[in-house]
Amino acid sequence: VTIRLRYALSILLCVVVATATAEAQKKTLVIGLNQDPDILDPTLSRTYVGRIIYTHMCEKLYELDENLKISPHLAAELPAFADGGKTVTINLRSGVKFNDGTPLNAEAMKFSLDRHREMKGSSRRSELDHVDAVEVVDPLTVRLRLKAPFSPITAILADRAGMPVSPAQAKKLDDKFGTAPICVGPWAFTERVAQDRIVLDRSPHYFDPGQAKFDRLVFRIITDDNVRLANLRSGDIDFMHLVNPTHAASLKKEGKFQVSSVTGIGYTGITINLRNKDGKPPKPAGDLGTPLANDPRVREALELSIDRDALNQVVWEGQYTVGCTPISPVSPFHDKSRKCPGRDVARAKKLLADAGLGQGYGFELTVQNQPPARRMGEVIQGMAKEAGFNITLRPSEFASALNDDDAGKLQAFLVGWSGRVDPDANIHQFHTCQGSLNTTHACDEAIDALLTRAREVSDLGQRTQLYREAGDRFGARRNIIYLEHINYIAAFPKNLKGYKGVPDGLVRIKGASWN
Amino acid sequence: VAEFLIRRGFISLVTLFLITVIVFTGVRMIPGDPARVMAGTDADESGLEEIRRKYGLRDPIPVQYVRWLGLALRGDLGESIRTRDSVLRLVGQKLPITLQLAGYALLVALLIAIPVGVLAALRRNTAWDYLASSVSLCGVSIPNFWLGIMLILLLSVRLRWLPASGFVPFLQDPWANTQRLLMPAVVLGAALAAVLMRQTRNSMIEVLSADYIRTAYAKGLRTGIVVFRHAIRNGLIPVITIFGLQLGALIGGAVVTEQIFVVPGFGRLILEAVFTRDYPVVQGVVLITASSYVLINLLVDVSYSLLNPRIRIGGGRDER
Repeated sequence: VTIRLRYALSILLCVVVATATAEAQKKTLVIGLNQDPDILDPTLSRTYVGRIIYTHMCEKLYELDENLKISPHLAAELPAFADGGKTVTINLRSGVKFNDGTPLNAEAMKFSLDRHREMKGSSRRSELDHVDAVEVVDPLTVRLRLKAPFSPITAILADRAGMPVSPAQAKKLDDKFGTAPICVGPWAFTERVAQDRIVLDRSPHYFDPGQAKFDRLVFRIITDDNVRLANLRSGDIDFMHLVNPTHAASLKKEGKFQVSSVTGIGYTGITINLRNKDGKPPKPAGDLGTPLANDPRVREALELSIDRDALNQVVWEGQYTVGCTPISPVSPFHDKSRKCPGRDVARAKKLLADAGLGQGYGFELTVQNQPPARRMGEVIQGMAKEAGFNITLRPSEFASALNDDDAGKLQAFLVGWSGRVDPDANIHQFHTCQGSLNTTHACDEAIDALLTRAREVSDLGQRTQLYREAGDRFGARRNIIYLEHINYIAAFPKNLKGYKGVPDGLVRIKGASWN
Repeated sequence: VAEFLIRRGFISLVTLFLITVIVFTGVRMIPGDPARVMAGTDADESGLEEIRRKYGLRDPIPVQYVRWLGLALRGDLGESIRTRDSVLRLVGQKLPITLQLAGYALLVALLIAIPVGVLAALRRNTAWDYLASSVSLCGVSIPNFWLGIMLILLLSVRLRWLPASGFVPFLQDPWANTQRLLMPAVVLGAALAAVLMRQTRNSMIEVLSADYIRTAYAKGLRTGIVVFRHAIRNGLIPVITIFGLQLGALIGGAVVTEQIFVVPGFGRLILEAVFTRDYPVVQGVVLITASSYVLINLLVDVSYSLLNPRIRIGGGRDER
């Protein structure tokens, strides 16, 4: 009897220990990221991956949902525009505290917005360039005075520029705030080991505590895709961000993990230099003297030689989303009536012949020196060859290619843009005559007028129409041939419930829990 | 010995100076605007200009170098552009991790290399010798990253015996620390073991055919005593030379190994800093690595005389 009792007690003990271990494990969620963020200061930071950390510890005035709809979060309601769009009033949610227990009020919000606008080295300065002054109206209301009507301001405040920081901590640490950041969030910063992990613990001050289902979040930095995947499979991480398309296809087949894929707000396309001889605006445009730059028929032929669907299948296992505009299909501004042109080699050949290039035409396409970009370049090269293009691929390190693109040294450049929620940031700076990223030096005053008007009006329908009209024009100009939108793919065990992918690609664990 | 040390010290300082010049210039020769890399693709011109101004990137390279060297000589290696952490603090955090990993890797390498090398020398041209040579060839030929991934797939994903990655400080949890460093140490130690094993074998073969060893056998000493008391001490001298040189390679190998096993050590620090053009970190890390490398080589040279008194470091005219 004694021996049996011992056995029973041992088994019971094992069960209790195992359960306790499992429970302890369940209270921590480990997320694998592909990059180490830069400084964790919403004012100074620049990296995309840093925004994933902020989602959990530095919340914003406005938040996005799965359909990219902007809704109030730390603000009580959407901003009120007055004075022809030049005055923006923001009411704050009451009872919100920073993770050091100090209150989020209008003074703290003004402090944060001014810090974003004025701090030396701020990366938010250009985003808030349209703001002339920030005023405190009452303890829970701030007012922004704009230099000119600027409707994208709501989307800008739905990102880092709309993140309040604890004034007490920011005054104490100044430009070292990022070493111990304190904002508003369901989790609070605990520790960071560079190139290894960032640890957040549940905040006792958060206004909606039920949303944080895990006591602790650990973000582990695993840069290699294969190693990150192996860690997911071995159980060392619970959530894998940015699964590459090949891995996504195999994970789906295996059926052991949930694979979440959401079309992103960015795009990939071929940027074609039209008149950038000595540098992008404000430097003057020049004549490049090449058929690709000067003859729209050649650019149309190039577009018609490309099969977007086949490109997606061959390069990305069909996991990305084809597209032909800078506005992602997930955006409320997307023009559903627009259909991407299909491949038409016969017409492409005719256009080249009409342009006097019936014997074929060669140009150089610069691609990033990375396997996926090279592969994409090779597929485009192969497709275009059938229409009579002899494309020479020039692999280049990314930063060098960007410099060369700015300087007007490239003929064509296969490059992407990570995308912003408001279409203005995906279009205006690329397509207006003096746009800061208009490296093609394309210029059409009618397009400028449409895009500037789209900044001034706040009605969604009106803005959509303006972008449609502008899109028709720059679409025909083809200084950028849009090809596809990246899909943000994440993988996690099937018993993690409540996770929703948002098209900005940021991981949002709030509300998710083990089943 | 003093003259030797002074001469070697001077050469070491010149070497260090040249290394810092090469690295300082080299990182600035990497294509692409560093301000653009630091700021990201979305930065506007005013943001880029501010970065260039803040970090003095507009100044001529010699001016930047003298400014950095002046601060470095006063022990100030600057702060990381990305995280605003002090470079010295970062190095202080990372170096012990890589040293611990290197220590484990050396242990693995020595535990394999010395016994197998000695055995191969004693059983020259037998199946044991051929087997040892084949294994050694594999050790040298198999790339770190491949072996690492294979070990993870086998021991972590399939068998679930060991964690796939990460690091836990030894003082926090010795068992978890050892578990997490075991695979990286084996991967890092495998190539070194192969090199050392071949060197041990060759060196031991040479020593075992020397007159004094034959004499020892003639006196009737047993093989164990001849090998362990007389042969190994001399046989290991060239091995120590290789060992010293390989320590540098070990730090280099740690870059790949730490990347695969997500060990937050010196290697990952270097890699990340180069990719993100974090100049202060690259320069600081290289200065410290180069200094360590030079120091290790100096110590190896000095250890010759201690291991074998017949060797005179100075190499004076009247000494033979």
